[in-house]
Amino acid sequence: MAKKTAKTKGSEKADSRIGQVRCLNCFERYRVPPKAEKFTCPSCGWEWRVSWVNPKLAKIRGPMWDRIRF
Amino acid sequence: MALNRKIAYINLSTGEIETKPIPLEVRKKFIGGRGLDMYLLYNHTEPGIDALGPDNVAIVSAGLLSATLSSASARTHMAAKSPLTGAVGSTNMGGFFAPEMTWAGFHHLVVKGKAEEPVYIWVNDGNIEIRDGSHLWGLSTRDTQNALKQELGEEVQVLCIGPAGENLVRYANVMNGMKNAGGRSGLGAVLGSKNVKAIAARGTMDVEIRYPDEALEYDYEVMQHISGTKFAQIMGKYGTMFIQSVTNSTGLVRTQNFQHNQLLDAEPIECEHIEEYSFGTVGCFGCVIHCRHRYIVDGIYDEGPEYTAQGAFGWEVGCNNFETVLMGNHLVNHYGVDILEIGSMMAWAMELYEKGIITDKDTGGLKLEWGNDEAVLELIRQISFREGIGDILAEGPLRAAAKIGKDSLKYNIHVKGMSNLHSDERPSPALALGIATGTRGSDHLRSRPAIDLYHLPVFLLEKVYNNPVEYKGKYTSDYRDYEGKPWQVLWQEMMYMAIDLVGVCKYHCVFLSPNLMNFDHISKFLHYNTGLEMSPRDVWEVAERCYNIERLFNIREGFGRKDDTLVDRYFDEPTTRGLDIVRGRTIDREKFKGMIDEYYELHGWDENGVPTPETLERLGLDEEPSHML
Repeated sequence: MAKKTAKTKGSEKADSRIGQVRCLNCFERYRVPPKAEKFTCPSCGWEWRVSWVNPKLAKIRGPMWDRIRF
Repeated sequence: MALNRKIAYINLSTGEIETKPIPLEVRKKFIGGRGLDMYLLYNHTEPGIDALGPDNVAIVSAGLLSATLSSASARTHMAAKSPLTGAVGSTNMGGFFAPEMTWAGFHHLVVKGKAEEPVYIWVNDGNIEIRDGSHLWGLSTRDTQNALKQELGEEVQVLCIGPAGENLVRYANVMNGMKNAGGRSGLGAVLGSKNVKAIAARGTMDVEIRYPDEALEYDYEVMQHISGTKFAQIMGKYGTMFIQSVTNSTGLVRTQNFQHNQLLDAEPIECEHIEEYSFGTVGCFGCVIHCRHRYIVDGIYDEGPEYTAQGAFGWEVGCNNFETVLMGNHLVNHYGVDILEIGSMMAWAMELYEKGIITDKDTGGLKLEWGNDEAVLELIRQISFREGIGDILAEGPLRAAAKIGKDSLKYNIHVKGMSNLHSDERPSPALALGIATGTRGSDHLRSRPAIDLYHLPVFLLEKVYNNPVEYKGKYTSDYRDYEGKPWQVLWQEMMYMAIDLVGVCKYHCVFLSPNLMNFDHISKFLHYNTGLEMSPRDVWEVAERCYNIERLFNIREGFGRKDDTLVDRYFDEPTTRGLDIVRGRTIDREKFKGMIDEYYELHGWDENGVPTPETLERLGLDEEPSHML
């Protein structure tokens, strides 16, 4: 039968990305502080609202609407 | 075993039913599912037939891996000449119908002619009957399925049409279960035109697996990998609605019928709101992702919604009310109409209303104003029952524009007469090329290189897109570029065709994640489950053959280079909103023309998009129609 979940180097690398989000503006990856609801990209300064798929997996929810009106 | 499932020809005009085995040589050439359907469509129709006449055929199929030890092999495919476009009609749905039909002994049903009175087709353990369906006519899709389950047993799976199909709405869908819809191309209307209300299936004929231990082990390995990805985890929690966070934030959604590319204040329709209405998720047969929610709104139970529902009843029509999204999703499932087409048609009507091209006199007083939730829900009903202005909108983009007149057509966002997904491709030439060249019309599920939006590094693009056939040109990570994109579109055409041949869900292959199944996996699944020895390159070649058959069908029906294009608004109207990197974008006409040229060349087609004799010979299509089946 199949091998059970023995961790490989690849999967460890993947784990290290858990909790990271990718800024939609500059495409840089950053880790979001646990339970954070807002996040400012350190690279480009764009501000995002954040939600959590599970306690370890963050997701960009959308922009800060009040900051991007034009 | 999977290879012994049969094909049945059902003639509604004469009542004759003929079943045949599918020869191995045909399997090797077309495998099954969508590919074999396209072969059958090309061989069993004459040029220029009326898509809603008895000469059209309605083909229903399961993929070759359906009901095997290949997870997520739940997809049912349908093919016919499309009453919406006149081109290839092709649609694909999840649920449980295809495995049940496979257990009943069949992989392909070819329905011909027209019944005098409403009927349903009963497929049961090797037998097929045409039965009286007059008691089902007029019922919603859900009531039809419930009635047939009461009549035939709870285990029965039903594929059916709703009132929209009966009323020959040219984008009526076919439903299996609460929300599994074959929406595109209007094939519900084809069944309606034949007086077929439903096809019911029940089977107990096991599918023998060629190498069961290895098949189980391999499936476990692949599904462990898939379910461990971020993509699957997010899909399992929010379904495809999670995409909206990215596309709307960036400025990639077609808002108010192409007037904008982002819905402002979209927070109320973000996917997280489903948690207030949902009581769990549910999946199709054998799926590890479970991408749709079960929800209740206003006391009504339904499943979904998907990204398309957010688009159709959200940003397209300028609404930001999550309950409108949920109710709109329910109504289209209930009436049996394509969510994607109806959302686009309503948004188009609203822009015409805004511009004064149609008025209260045309709409019967219905105020088609942006954000008018009640008007949106009422218009869904009017279209499904062909009432009032709904009767015109039910005709689809080209026919409706001809009836409305003035310059209404210039505001419609379509390709080959089929509306686009509620997305805005102006910032992304790859996505624009994909919809322009789609065989069934504007289409995100037949060629979209969605991962192009992820800004993936070139080495990763090479790893994904140079397998199993190498591209000699350059890739670029920037989704706003034109370089390398024709190949990415072509590669995705082959990928999606390959996954449709075996009947596995697209969310398990390279579509929204670069990390999922590709040609290597399909080759191995075929080997372990059926014993067919096909290399990844062989699978690619079958996919290419089948894609070329679709192209041949369209050429036979008069389509060509003139139809592989976008409406002028893509070239002339810059995007108005979104991130800085997408604002002010249009598609460059000259560069677009260059992409089309390269795309044709890569395919082995001439400058008019016609497969060259050399290409047809290479693919073994030089003697089509060959009538092998």
